Amino acid sequence: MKVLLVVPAYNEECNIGKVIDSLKKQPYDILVINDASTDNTLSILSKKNVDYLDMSVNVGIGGGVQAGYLYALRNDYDIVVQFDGDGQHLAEEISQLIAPIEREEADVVIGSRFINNIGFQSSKIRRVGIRLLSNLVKICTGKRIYDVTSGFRAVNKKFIALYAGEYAQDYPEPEAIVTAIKHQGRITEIPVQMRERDGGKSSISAVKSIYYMIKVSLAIIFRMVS
Amino acid sequence: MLQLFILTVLLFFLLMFIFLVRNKRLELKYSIIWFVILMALLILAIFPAVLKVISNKIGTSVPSNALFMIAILMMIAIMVFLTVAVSELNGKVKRLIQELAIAEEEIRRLRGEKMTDEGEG
Repeated sequence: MKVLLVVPAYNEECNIGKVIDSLKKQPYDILVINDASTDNTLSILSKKNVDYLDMSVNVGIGGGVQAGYLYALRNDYDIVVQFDGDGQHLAEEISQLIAPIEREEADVVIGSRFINNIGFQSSKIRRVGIRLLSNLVKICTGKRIYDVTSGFRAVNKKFIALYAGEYAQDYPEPEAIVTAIKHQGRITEIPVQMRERDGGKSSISAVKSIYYMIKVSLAIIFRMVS
Repeated sequence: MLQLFILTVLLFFLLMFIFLVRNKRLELKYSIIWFVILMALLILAIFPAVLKVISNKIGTSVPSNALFMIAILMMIAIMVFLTVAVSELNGKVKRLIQELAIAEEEIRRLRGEKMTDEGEG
């Protein structure tokens, strides 16, 4: 099966080099999405001899990842793996993540921190937020997904086409799960470990987190009623 | 006197919109809602009695309140219309940026292939 690793990166000059090095040890194609970074991310990408999309204007993580899905669709990939460019995911776990899709047991696989509860668990307040969203997804869809905000996920061909067509522009992760469930997608969560980011800072600051919760909750509810 | 003043203002707006559409500064598609609203206002300005009827129907104590309500509703209508237009544009711009990035990647790849071809030849 043709597998494409889609790696969204926005101002990740501290991490992206290491991430690419670790991904190159894996037998998969890599596509980094540089979402109009204002630092040296782009020059690192051109030095690293890796395929990348260079967004001319910032389109948000969702818009960037969607470009990856579009690219995968055009180039006939069977599986897309989303892998964050900040170094919090482990390249060695990709093979486990795509295994359920290869066995045709799942359409979308989410790498979850909260099954075995090992590795970096995020801050207390974020865990509460994630738990709230997880409950909301459960209420709206009847399905329990623990790590709804995880950016480490694998998607099969059918859902690559779906996401290429519709994908939220900012904070898309929980919404994308609901979209998949609404389209009768089989969603599996598998335990993964995540690392605390050691360079740069997260895209979600304290002020933004309120917007995050409101936006994502509304998006989930709208998805269900539409 | 007030009626004359309002009519002049409305006429000025009407001419302005016609001018903007003629000069392609405003697309006809987006001007339609303005023309509809201007027409409604013109009717109210020429026949103030209509406003009294509306005021009685919706039960405002003075006709001017009905006028304010109508004005606010029309402004809300325009704002909804504008946010819809902005959302549409946002979607289109996003897709364009994505397509551009994919096309650029393809150009880079083709250039790379060409250079290695020439190197071998």
